[in-house]
Amino acid sequence: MATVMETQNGIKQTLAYPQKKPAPRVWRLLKAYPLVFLGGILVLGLIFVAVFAPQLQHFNPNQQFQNGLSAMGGPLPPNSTFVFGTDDLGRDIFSRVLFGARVSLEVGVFSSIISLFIGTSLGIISGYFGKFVDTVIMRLTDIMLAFPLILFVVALVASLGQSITNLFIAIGVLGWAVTARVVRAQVLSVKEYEYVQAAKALGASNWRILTKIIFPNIIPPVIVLTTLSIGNNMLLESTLSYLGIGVAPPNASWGNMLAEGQQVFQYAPWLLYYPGLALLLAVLGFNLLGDGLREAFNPRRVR
Amino acid sequence: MADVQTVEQGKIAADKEKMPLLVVRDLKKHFPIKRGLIQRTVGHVRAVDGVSLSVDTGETFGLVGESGCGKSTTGRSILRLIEPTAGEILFEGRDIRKMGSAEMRRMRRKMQIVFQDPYASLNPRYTVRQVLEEPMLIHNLFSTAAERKKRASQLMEIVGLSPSRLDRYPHEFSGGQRQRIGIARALAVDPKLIIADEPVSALDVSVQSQVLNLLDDLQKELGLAYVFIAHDLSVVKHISDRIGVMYLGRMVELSPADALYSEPLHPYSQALLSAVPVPDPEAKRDRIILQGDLPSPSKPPTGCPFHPRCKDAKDICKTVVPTWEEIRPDHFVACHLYS
Amino acid sequence: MSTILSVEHLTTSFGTTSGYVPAIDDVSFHIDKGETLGIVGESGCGKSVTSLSIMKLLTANGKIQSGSIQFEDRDLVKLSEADMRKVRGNDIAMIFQEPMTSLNPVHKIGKQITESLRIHKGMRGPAARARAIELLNLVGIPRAAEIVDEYPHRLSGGMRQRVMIAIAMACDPKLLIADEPTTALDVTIQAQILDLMRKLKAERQMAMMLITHDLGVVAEMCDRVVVMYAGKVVEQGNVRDIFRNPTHPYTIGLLNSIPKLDERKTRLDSIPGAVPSIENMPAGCRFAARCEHATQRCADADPGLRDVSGDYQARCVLV
Repeated sequence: MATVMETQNGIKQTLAYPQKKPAPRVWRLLKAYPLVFLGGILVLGLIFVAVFAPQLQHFNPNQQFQNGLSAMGGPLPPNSTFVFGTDDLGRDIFSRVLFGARVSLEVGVFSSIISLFIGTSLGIISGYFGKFVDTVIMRLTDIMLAFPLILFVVALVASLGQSITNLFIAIGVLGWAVTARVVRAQVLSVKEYEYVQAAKALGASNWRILTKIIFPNIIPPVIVLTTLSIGNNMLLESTLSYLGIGVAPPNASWGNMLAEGQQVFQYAPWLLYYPGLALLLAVLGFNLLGDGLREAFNPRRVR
Repeated sequence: MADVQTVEQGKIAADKEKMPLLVVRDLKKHFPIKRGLIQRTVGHVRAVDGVSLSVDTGETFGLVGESGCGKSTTGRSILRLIEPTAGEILFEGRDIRKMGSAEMRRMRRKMQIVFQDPYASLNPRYTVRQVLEEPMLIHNLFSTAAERKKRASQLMEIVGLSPSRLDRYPHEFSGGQRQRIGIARALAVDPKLIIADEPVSALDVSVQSQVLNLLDDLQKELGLAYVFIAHDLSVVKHISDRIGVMYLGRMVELSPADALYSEPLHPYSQALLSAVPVPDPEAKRDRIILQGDLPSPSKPPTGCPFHPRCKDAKDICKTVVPTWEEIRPDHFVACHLYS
Repeated sequence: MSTILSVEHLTTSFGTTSGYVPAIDDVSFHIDKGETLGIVGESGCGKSVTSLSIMKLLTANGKIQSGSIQFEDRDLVKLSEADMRKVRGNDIAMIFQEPMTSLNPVHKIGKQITESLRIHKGMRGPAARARAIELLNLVGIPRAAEIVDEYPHRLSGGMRQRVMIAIAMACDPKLLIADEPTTALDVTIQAQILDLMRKLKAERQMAMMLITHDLGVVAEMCDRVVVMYAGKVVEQGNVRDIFRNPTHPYTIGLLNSIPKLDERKTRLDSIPGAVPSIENMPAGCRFAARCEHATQRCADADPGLRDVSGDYQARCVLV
C-alpha cells in the first residue's frame, strides 16, 4: 500500500522539482530576528566582562589613588591613566564598572534561578493537580503580586543581614509569582492538547505525562521568562544598592556607584555615565534576548 | 432506560458466546457550572444524560448528532478520559468504572481512541518513531529497541506509510498521513475497540475517502470494533453497521444503518437526513427545515428535549420524557409518536 | 446575460522565505448578473485567495502580480485603496466562514449593521436603526428590535451568520462573496442559512460567488461551477454538466470519493496521494502525480484550459 500511496505511477520522479537546500536553522533565526543577535552579543559581552574582570581591570577597584584626584581633591575626568575617570575617592571607575558587572550578573542569575525553581514547581503543581491546591497557590500568588516586590525584599534583606548572597536569596524567594502564573497557564493549556489525551488513553501514568509531555512544553516560555527576569533582577539589585540596602561599600555595584555619583554629577557627570550606560546595555541585552527568544519559540513564526 | 437493559440482558442471555464487546448502560456525564469566589456549583450541564448502547466485536457503531449533542463526551466517557457521573461501562463483561487506576491503565490496551485533529493529536516534539513506540514503552510490550523498531515499521506499513519516514516529525506529513499515524499509534497496543472521534472531519474529501477505506480494511483484517463519532451523516452511514442519533445528551434513535436512512422514525433523524446537501443538482429535495437553534444543555426543555423544534410535537411531548422503545427489530426510538 | 465580474489571468503570490510563490496562477472566470457561481476545491487550492484578491483584502505578504478583475466598468486591480473601500461592503459584500470571529465582540449588533450604512449611504440615527431592524427581519432573526441592542456573544453560530448576512445586505450589494458560509455550522443550521441565501438572491437579483469544499452545497446552490486544484482552474462549466459528465480526472475523483447517503458501497473511490505544496509545484499538469491517466506528456507541460463545449472548459490532455 505504501508505494501506491507515494507514487501512483512512475512519473513522480520526473515531476520532482529541484528543491533549494534550506539554510541552517540558526542562520534563518538570526535573519528573522536580528535583535536576538544584538541581545545575545550584549549578554555574552556582559558575561565575558564579569568572568574576566580581574584580568581586564586596570587597577584594584577599591584602591584609592593619590594621583586619582585633582589638585582640588576632586574626581578626574577620563584620561590616559584612568580611561573612565575616577570617582571622588580617587578610585578607577573602569575597574569598578567591571566588578559591578560581576555583582549584577551574579545577583540577576542566581535570584532568577531561585525564582525559576520555586515558580515552576508551584506552577506545575497548581496547573496539573488543580482543585484545592490550585486555589491555595494562586491566591498566594495574587498576594505576592499585590505587594511591591521591592518592599518585601528590603524587609527580608534587613532581617537576614546585608550581603550579596542574602540579596539574591531575597529577590529569588520573593520573585517567583509571575513564573508560577505563566507555568500554570501553560500546563493548563498543554493538558488539554489532544496528544496528552492520547497518551492518557494509551495508559500513560500521571508521572509519565508530567515529565515526558508537559515539562518539555513549559521549557520555552520559562526560558524566555527567566531571561527577562535576569534583566529585571539586575535592575532591582541596582535599585537596592542605590538605596544602600544592596551591595555594601566599598565594594562596587552599578547601583551604589550611581548613588555616589549623584552627589557630584554637576561637575563630574562621568561618575554617572559609565555605570548608567553599563546597566542600560546589560538590561537591554537581556530584554532583547528574551523578546527575541519569545518570537523564535513561537511555533507560528519560523518553522 | 430500563427497557434497554432488559433488552440487552435478554440478548446476553440468549447468546452467551456472542456477548457484546462493549455495553454502555445509562451513561451520564454532568459538568458542574461553578460561579463566584468559592466556586459554588450553581447547576449542571447535562452533556450526556442516560445513553445506552452496545458494540459487538468487529462491528462499527456510528454515533451521530450536531455540535453539543454529547457524542464526543460519550466517546471520551466510555474510555474514562472524562470520568462519567453515572452508568455502567462493561467491556468484555467487566465494569471498567469499578477498576482502580493501575488496572484501568492495563485495560487501555484494549480500547483506543483516534482523534479529530491530526495536527493537535500528535506531539510535535516526537518523531513518528517516538509516537509509535510510546505505547509500547508504556505497556512494556517489547524488551529491546530493535523489536520496537520492527513493530513501528510494521505499523507504518499497516496504515500505508513508508517505514523509511519513521524518523520524520509530524509536521512533515500531510493531514491525511498524520491521521494514518494517529491510527497506527492506536493499533500499536493491539486494541479490540477503537473510538474514532470525528476522524475524517478535518480532512479534505479526497483524503477522507482514503482514511475511511483504511479503517474499513483494518476492521476486516484485525477484527476491530469501532465506535465512529461524526457529525457528517453520509460518512457515518457509509461506515457504520448500526447508528445511534443523539440530541441534547440523549439517544433519540438507534437502528441498523440502512434502516435509519430508508425509514428514519424520530422527527429529528428525519430532519437531519433531509438537511444533508445532496451532490446532485437534479435531485428532488423535500427538505424539512428545522426552526430555531439547539437549546442549551444546561437548561434542556422539559419532556422530550426536541419538542420545541419538532413539527409533530403534541401536548404530551412538552411534559413527559418519551421512553426508549424497540419499534421494529433492532430499531429503537424515543418518541411519543410511536408509543 | 451581462457579466458583472470578470477575472482575467489573475495571479496572486505570497512572500515566503524563498521568495514570492504564486498561490493562484492564471485564474480566469466570470460571473453574470443574478447568477451563482460556485468555486470548489480542497484546502490549498486557492479558492479563498481568489476571493480575497477580488476584495483586495490580502495579507501584507500577499500581492496581485498580474491579471485584471473587471467589476462592471472598473478594473479593481488598478483601483486605489480609497476607491476600493467604496466598493467593499457597498457594491461587493463578503461573508466569511467563522461567524464566531467575524463579528466584533465589543460592539452591539445594531452598531455593526449601521456601520456600513453610515459609511456608504451616510445614513445615521433613527433611520439607520430602523433599517438595521428591517435587515434583521429580512434575514429571519426573531425579536429583531431587541436583538439590535444585543452583543454578538448572546447569539448562536447560526444567528451570527444571519447577522453577517444582514450586514452584507445592508447596502444592497450587486455581488455577494460567500467564503465557506456554512462550513462551521451544523447541518440543520446550514440548511436554514442556505435556504435564506437562496431566498435573498432570488428577491434581489444579486450575483453570488459561493466558495466551498462541499460538493453537495454546490449542487444545491450554484448555476455554474469553477473547480480549482493547486492554484489553477481545472474545470469550469454549467453545474449539470459538471455533475453529470465531469471531464477532469480530479473532478471525477472528487465526486466519486464522497460517500452518498443513497448508496451502499463497501469501498469508496479515492484519489491517492496529496496536493503538491505551494513551494514545490510541478511544471506540467499539477494533478498528474495523482492521476491514473497521466502520461509523460502531462508531466512535461501544462495542458491549458481546453473547450469541451460552449461554456465548458477543462484543463486536461484527455479533452
